[in-house]
Amino acid sequence: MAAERDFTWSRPPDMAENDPSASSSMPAATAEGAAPLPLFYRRPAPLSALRHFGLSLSATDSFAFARDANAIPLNVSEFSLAARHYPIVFTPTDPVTPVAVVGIAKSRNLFVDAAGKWLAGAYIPAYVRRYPFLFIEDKEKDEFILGIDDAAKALREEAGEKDRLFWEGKPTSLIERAMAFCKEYQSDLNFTRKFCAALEEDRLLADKEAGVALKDGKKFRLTGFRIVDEAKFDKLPAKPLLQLRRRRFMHPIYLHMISTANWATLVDLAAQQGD
Amino acid sequence: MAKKDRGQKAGSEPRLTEKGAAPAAPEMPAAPPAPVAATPSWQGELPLFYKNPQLLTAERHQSFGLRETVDFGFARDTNSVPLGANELFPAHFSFPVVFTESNPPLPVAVLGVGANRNSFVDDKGGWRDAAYVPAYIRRYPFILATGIAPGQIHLAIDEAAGSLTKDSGRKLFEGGQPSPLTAQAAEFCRAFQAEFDLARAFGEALQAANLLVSKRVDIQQPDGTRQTLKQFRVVDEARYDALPDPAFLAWRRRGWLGLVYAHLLSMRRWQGFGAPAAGAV
Repeated sequence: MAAERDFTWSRPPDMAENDPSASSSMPAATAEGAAPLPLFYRRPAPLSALRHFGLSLSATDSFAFARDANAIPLNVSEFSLAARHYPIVFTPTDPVTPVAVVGIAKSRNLFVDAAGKWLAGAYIPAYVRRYPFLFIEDKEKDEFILGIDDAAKALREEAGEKDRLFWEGKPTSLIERAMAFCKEYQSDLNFTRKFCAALEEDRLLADKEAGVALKDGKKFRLTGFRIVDEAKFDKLPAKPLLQLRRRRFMHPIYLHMISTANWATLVDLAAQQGD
Repeated sequence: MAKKDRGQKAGSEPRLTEKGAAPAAPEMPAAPPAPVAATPSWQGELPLFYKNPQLLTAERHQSFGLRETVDFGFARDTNSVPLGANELFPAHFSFPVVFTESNPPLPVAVLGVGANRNSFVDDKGGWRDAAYVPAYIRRYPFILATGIAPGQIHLAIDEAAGSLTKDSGRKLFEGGQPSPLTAQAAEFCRAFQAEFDLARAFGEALQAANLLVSKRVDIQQPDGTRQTLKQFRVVDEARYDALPDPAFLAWRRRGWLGLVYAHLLSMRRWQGFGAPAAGAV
């Protein structure tokens, strides 16, 4: 007998992260009013020498900020790394976002321990590594501005040059690296959006459930997410299929399908951790 | 091609099957990666692990049983085993899957970087880190044999297996009939054989489309020494991308695309290979 268990998003991962003021693309389930913020970010603000001049970002390997998430947005470029541990699924939101499922319970990331350490050997999604930086879209100028979450714990007022965001009025190498990271992330995100749009166009995504069995024989059904419907994918005519191939979307489709074997990994981890 | 058909040598001798129609023992199991080829345990004659396979019969094996505890010690000295086609999916989570340099190329799981060392078998004969255990290994000491009667396959067992006991353990026969254990083993061997044949067809297709390239991998061991693994092949991604559309569509129909992607994905497992996977799940 299978126990029914809904997969409830701890916080619907959203696509509007680059524009904290946007609300049109927000998932309906968000309870934060008109302008919900991207996952993890509480007070994102454009980086400025004026505003952030005295601040340091302490180097830390704590991912405590991600401990309450059960799904983390993922870019297509990360699928092959993420497929080792996480089911890669798609959010039931518009627009669709691929996410790495990191927990089964609503607010529990099984890959981050009480000390904030990410499970050794498991891939840490770029979305997490990017934090507390992000790109904020300036729609009028049609450009992106590097921003930072002012609420980030790692952000501190410190004396001395070490880990400073700005030094002598100029951005430090730390910001340069963050800029490069966010640029690459944005470019990956653009490709990811095209990928998701193509899946939607070909109507390949379906609300599905994952049947997972614990080692002790208990069975769960997880629902509330979308995956590529293999039956539909198998029936996709040659023309759209070859179109997907030309656009380099075949690889991520298969990686996604292969990754769904990881539901069992998650359930086992949850059992180990007494979740 | 390595050694030819053992059937030529002894026509009456049952032939152990997983070589398919044109068997060649040395090229199937550990033959490929690294200098394993000369592993004395099978001498180019018997399939990897099997020393004295005999047809399973009620007369001969009435009192035999299998030990309750599983000991993978028999697989400790090999660094690769063949995989069935459907095994590429679970296998890529645990180790690199590569192709042998034999003809046809066969997919094998790389289990160790040393010539005769399987890093997944621990000191106690357990299988490490909850990693995937290839069916080839789970099947042991059973194996299928053909050539006894036309069109028939028979279940055989390696009488040299350490797991085989007399008058104890899980019985192979009960009241002169194959026990559930034996029936299950036969079914397992048949299923593996089917997947092995598919893997072989896949290997042939890769070969025919010229998608495989020879590769060598340098691996840093936990103790700092470097090991080079060679004599194996992998799918060249650029060539795969250039596969003509009709072939691509045909491969899709045959379910081979997923195998290609699982193989490519398994290349990620080189990283940290040979080192104990900390916190592996």
